[in-house]
Amino acid sequence: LMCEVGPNKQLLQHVEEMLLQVPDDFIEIMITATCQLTWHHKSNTLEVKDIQLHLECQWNMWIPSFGS
Amino acid sequence: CKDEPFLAAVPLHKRILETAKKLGITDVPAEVVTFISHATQTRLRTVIEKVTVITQHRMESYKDDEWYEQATDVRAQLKFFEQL
Repeated sequence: LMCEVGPNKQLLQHVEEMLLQVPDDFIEIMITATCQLTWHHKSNTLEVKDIQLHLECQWNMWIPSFGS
Repeated sequence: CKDEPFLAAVPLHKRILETAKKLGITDVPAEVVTFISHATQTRLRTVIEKVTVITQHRMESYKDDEWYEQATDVRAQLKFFEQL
């Protein structure tokens, strides 16, 4: 991923550790919010639609899935 | 667009299941795992891009920029204090 952004750039170690923390927290928040949505419409299956909704509202992010 | 998983699918699936279980969700389909992996990649990319912009900003010098002019001469001021 770093090569994609810029091939001549180096990451300091503590920056790398910090960046590794980012997806960790992100996944946690995302799953928690999505589970609440799922629970809200009385289902016990996580759905891509719910994650999409959460990402769009909370992070202003649109990720296409296979269905759309 | 090729569909290579960004994060390792098995540990990710396990982790999602663990978190979901606490909230009363028991079923996590594989497509959800792939989707979360994609989303995380996008998120991380955004963060890295922002950090890159900040880094470049830090490297830039405004000395020769015509929109900026010298307001105080700190070096001369320090020299003055030294002579006191």
